[in-house]
Amino acid sequence: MPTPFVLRPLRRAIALTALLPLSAFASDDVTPEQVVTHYADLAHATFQDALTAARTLDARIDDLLAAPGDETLAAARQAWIQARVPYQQSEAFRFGNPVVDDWEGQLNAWPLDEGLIDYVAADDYQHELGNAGATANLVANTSIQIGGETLDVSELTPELLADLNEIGGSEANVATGYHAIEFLLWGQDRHGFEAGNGERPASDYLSGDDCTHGHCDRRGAYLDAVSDLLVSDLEWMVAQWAPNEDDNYRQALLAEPASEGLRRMLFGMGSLSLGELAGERMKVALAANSVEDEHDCFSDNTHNSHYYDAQGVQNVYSGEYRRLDGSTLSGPSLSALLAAEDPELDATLSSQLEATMAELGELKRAAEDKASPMTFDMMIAPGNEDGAALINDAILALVTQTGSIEKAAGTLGVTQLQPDDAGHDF
Amino acid sequence: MSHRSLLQRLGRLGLAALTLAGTPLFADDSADARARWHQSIGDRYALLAEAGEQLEASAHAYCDAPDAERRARLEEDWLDAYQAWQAVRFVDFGPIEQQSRAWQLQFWPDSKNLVGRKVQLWLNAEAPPSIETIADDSVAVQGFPALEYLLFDEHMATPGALAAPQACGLLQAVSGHLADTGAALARDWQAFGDHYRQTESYTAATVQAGLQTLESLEDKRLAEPLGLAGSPANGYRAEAWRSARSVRLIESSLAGLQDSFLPGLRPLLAEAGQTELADDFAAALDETRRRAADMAPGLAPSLDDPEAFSDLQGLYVKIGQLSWLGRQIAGTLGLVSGFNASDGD
Repeated sequence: MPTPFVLRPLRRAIALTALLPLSAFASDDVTPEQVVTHYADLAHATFQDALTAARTLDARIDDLLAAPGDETLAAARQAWIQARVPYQQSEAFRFGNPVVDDWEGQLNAWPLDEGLIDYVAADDYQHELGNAGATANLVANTSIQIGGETLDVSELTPELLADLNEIGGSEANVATGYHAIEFLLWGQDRHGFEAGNGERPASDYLSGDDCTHGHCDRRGAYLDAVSDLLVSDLEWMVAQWAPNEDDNYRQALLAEPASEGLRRMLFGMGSLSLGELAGERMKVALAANSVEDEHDCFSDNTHNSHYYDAQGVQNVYSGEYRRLDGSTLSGPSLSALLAAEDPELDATLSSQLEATMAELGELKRAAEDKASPMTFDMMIAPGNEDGAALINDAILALVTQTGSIEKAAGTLGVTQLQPDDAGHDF
Repeated sequence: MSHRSLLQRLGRLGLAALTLAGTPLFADDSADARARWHQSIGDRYALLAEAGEQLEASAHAYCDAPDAERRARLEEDWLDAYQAWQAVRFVDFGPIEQQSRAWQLQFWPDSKNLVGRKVQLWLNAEAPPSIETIADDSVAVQGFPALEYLLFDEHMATPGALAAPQACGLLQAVSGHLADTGAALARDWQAFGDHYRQTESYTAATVQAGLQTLESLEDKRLAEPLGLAGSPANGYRAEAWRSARSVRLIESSLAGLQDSFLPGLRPLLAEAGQTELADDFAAALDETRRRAADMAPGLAPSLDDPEAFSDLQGLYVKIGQLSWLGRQIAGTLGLVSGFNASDGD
């Protein structure tokens, strides 16, 4: 079908080969079982790194709270940016694995009505229409009212924040996760399409008369709790993928037929590439010129979040993951499995994944340019043709690779890519 | 974000969850169905183009000499054109895919009120935009919801607000852009004809487009705002909440399926020996549309009115039954739920 910017090639007919019997793979090739096992290893390593980086972030936040100042704030911000590197790569494990998808809302929910958490500019804050929690300001209030219910929020514990996430039934009520922490470190980005990001002063965490914007103690308690929660959430996820455990997700996944594992791998790659990254996180923001739809809108780290999302997709396919410590994890890959069936398609998909990384590399370079950086929120400004071209090229590359992921699914005998039938009984 | 958001935000991308997997059960010569669809959908695009032209003329007439009569006429023409779009909105392939045209006509859902903010930006600008400027601007300011803001939002309630030069200039520019979009769609749909008629896979694409529309009517356009999808009722999640015309739009979507979707579907089902299923579907569609036509025009105002709310619930149930029939049709034709890459938060 025509037109390059169609964001839905996956619904097109999957060229069906007969369901491939697993015995069809010769013994010197990698087997689907090996590939799925290595996939679990990749997930484990990625979440381990995400945990390590989150612990560093947690430590930097403790430093900030112990001695609020420009330096400790800058170090905490830097640790947050580092923490996003492995976490974004883990998003390739999200779609397809219910254990991740059901859990991630507490970590990476977005976009958020940040007025739920802390102060916002009265004249420069647009929340979700009809969201009763959008201006609750948990930092400033020890009790809040949402939907006729009065809640005691005097003690800001990790458990309380977890309970408050999506309160009132609105997904914009994000009380936890990376973006809540991002807001508490940077504050609102008041620069719109212009250069500049959030300018929260370190004095927002000072006590006594030096405290700016009020309630610094509660703000500090919030940041402390939400960062602790991130660490414990990641600990839980690492355990789900750990080998040699009796009762975790990894065991359940590996107990399924390998074809089910392949399905989850391909579904995760395709869904992140197309619907999520190309669609929700890039095309919506660009077509609507909407800074509200920018992924890391407080820090302007969006380019990195996009880049490492795409890197995660490539990791799943190549079976390779470059760890935080610089070492590389590699093993039986989806790429090798596909190459045994259709070397040409494997070569095509591999080069398309490379092409996507090159396009997102361009986006990253433009955003990090020393002389005149163009961050994502500047790229989506009305009339910025260069910015739009950078984003459109990345979208097109993602759309293209998704078409091949779909073909690969057909070749590998994965015919039903949805994790469940979503209630359809046909 | 969690799975609920999946359904909630799907519509912005117009992604469908049905895939043709395996051998389709309809015969090779579904070209007849495609020929009928091309004709009936083309008729609807022509109506959209006409209504867009009328709306633009009406905007000019009002701004030239603002009075109550012309204002009423303008509101009518706006609704006519918006309804003309609803009738053909189920088509999510072909020329509509270019330049995000579906979003250009209707940016929805708009939970963060981007429409209101983009319109306000222009109202506060020094000079009104040209049609060309609007064409290069955000999709949020290019379509029916932007005009709805100008006509119905509480910020525009002051007498004379719309007649002010800045507002009227914006009104004319957006109407002009909408008319251009409608005309381009009608023209491009004709140019697309040969390719559409000759390409087998468009049979499945058209069936799934029609059936997907029923699902989105059920889940997004009704269940979400009515509070039947897990979160509390929220009138702002309804389409056309500013003008309280949500149900009128639903009615037009159903009418569009009758006029433009059934003509190709019938022969397809007949060929599969399922004439009865086609009759059942057509009858249910007609009954549902009539029901919607008899109801109050808005959705949000009915949330606090038990009787009107129960009407809406009734409509929701009817559309659910239509969706169920749609799934029987999909099964009969060999369409299965498949790769859905539309997840997103």
